[in-house]
Amino acid sequence: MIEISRLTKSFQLKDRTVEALKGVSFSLQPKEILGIIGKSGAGKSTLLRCLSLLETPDSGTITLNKVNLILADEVRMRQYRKRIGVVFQSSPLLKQSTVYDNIAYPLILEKTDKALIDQKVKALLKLIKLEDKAHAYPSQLSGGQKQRVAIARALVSDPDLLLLDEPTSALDSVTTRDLILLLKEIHQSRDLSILIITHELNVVDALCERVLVLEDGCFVEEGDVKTVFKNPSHAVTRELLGLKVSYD
Amino acid sequence: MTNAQIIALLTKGFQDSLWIIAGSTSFATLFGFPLGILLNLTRQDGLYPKAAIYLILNRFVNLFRSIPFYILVVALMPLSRFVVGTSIGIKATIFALAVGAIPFVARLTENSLREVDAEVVDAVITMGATKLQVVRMLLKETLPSLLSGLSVTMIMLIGYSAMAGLMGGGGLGDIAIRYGYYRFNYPVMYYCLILLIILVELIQTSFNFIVKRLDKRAR
Repeated sequence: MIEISRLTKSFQLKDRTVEALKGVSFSLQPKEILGIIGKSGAGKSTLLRCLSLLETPDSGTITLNKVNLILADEVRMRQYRKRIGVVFQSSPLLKQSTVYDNIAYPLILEKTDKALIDQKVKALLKLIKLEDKAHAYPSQLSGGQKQRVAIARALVSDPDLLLLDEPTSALDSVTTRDLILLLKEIHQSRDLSILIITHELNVVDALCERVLVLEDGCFVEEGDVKTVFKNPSHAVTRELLGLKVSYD
Repeated sequence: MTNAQIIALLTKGFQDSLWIIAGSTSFATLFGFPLGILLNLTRQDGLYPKAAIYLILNRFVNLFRSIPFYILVVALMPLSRFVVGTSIGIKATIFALAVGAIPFVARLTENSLREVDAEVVDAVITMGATKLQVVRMLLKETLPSLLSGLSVTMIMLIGYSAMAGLMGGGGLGDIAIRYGYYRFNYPVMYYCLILLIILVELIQTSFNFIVKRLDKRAR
């Protein structure tokens, strides 16, 4: 189980201090899919950077299976990072490596046995339905295919948490639907929690059980998706819902 | 001058030019490349942000790059005599060219490494990579760009070697100036010119070929 408790983070700009996170707390159960929505500047990116252990929060804890990840030294931190698979918005793949090597990369870093790498990568290529693209380079892939490869890469170390940052914001509606189906399949077949940070409510609606609404560094609304989307209690949620389009 | 003499002269000049370019490129790369990596790592958004070190290295690179090359060669003469034992000839030219090109190579390397998106670096860090592994990834990702930089450096050094020829630096530039400019032997000067053009074309074409083969970034 993942527990985030009273996380704060502020940044010093030239003339002022920006409090990006003002003590956010939430937990994520095993196998749960949680959505965090919010407008631009709400603190979503900072939260994602803290959760992916790229940024150290000013205070608060991130606990994964009862271990506080924040207090870890550099060596342990690298171990913990492998427990969290991150899919970034721009699907940043290694352009000079093939699809196969991109997916294998986290395992290559760990110097995993080649036979095991091969077994895992092939299974993931099958999952993302890109077996025929194993030796292609990212420049030869479409946006949706790149995002699939990025997801496979995030899964290759068998993480406890899959963290997705605006996974569909650069994709068209058909590709978005395919990606949603892929994520559903991953959720069913694998023992992990999924956290999606996005401003696209249709994705949250299609995938998540629970949703949190982030605004100005705080959660302003929380609940199961159907209830929150049907009866939003906060103005920001209503505002976000006004932008909702349906993929049904 | 007989044809045989001219051929002998040009052959020697061509060989000397090759030595000068190979020697100066090697030494400039040997020192400039790590310096470029260091600049990239210590910059504010780098892997090891160290403002003081970056400031010093950055100043050093800018300072050297702002000195006109011909002046730098003259200024380096005493140092050249101390390091390689002479201030004229091929050895001195290689020394001066290498020192002059180190900051240039460093800047090209730093810029090449910056071509990798910050999100790619973040992604690799979230996979549990060590900093050394991140640097290795950066080098692999920017290999085509680094090689392009190498070809630019070599061609720049051909130009500079001709300038060093003004001070008896050896190579084709030296011959072109001594025979063409001082003795009005224009044919020799034009032969040198043609050989220099061939040399530049050869380097550029081979590097273009290699970079095109290696570069997987474009469709």
